[in-house]
Amino acid sequence: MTEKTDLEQYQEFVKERLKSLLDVVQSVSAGDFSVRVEIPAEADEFTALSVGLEKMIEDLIEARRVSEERMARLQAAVEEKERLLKTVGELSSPVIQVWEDVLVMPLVGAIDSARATRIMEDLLNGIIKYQAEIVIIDITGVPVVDTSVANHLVQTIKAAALLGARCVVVGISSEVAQSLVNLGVDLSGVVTRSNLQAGVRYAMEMMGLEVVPKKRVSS
Amino acid sequence: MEVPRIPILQIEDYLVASIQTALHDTAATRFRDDLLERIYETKARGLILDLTAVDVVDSFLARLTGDIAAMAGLMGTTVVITGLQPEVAVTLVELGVELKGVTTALNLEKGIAALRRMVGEGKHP
Repeated sequence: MTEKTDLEQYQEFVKERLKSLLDVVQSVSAGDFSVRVEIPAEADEFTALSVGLEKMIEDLIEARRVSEERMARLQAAVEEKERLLKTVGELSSPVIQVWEDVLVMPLVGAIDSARATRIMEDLLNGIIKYQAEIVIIDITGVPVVDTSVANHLVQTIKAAALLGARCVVVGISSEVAQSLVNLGVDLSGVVTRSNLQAGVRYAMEMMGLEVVPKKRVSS
Repeated sequence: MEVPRIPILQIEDYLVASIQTALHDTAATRFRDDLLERIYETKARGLILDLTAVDVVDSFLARLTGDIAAMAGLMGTTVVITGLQPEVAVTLVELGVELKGVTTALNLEKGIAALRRMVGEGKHP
């Protein structure tokens, strides 16, 4: 049995230490942070490297923890935002029954394509739910009515007619009236009145109803 | 291979037919013929076409109902279409399909009320 030379022994020592360090590096790359660097009691050429590597692993673990915390906070913020958006969506186009067979749909705020589609759905579902024959669409709170919104409105009114309900649009401001005419929007089939009160009066007329004062009993 | 006929019911002075299956070619022609026959037999003043069970209305069905309304109208019968589903209504509007000469109502009850109003007052399209 030949004894190893000093050189061979040194080579083995280096291989061994390098292998153990490499094992740790590979584990950490694969996401396993449970492995730690072995730092021998006696200082040797590899001590500095081992200590450095160990510190780097600890920094990595800390960085990951911070990152996970941030992700959790972001996730919570996204969920909160979605909840708020849903609430806003529910608030924005309620359908209210003000009389038998008469609905009011007050619209507030800007109306984009997505909202216009929701409004149409809510209106049609409201007609079915309340068995309504007249719907007063109040756009007092809508600041801008462009061609797209106007067309959506006309489509909605036509679809409502197919369900047997008549619509009257109220609350057109002077600015909106001007822009609608200037845009050349075809509102020929659309009944309009100045405000909600006038709209209700129209509904009553259509239903053949009138409001009269109660007879006073003279004392 | 017999395609079932669509039943045509009578209530008071009116006829009611509910379309439950897809109507094409022979079935559609037979339905139209049956309807006009019954109108002739009963001298019905009103006809209600109920589309509650119809999920999809294509241009064929739209034209068929328009034709039925026109033919029945010539024979002195007012036609009311009831039960159009919201999705179908939206599709019809988006496609720009007009149901000419046809009154619509939400359901059977309102359809009959509408008929009473129109026929009772002697109105005729």
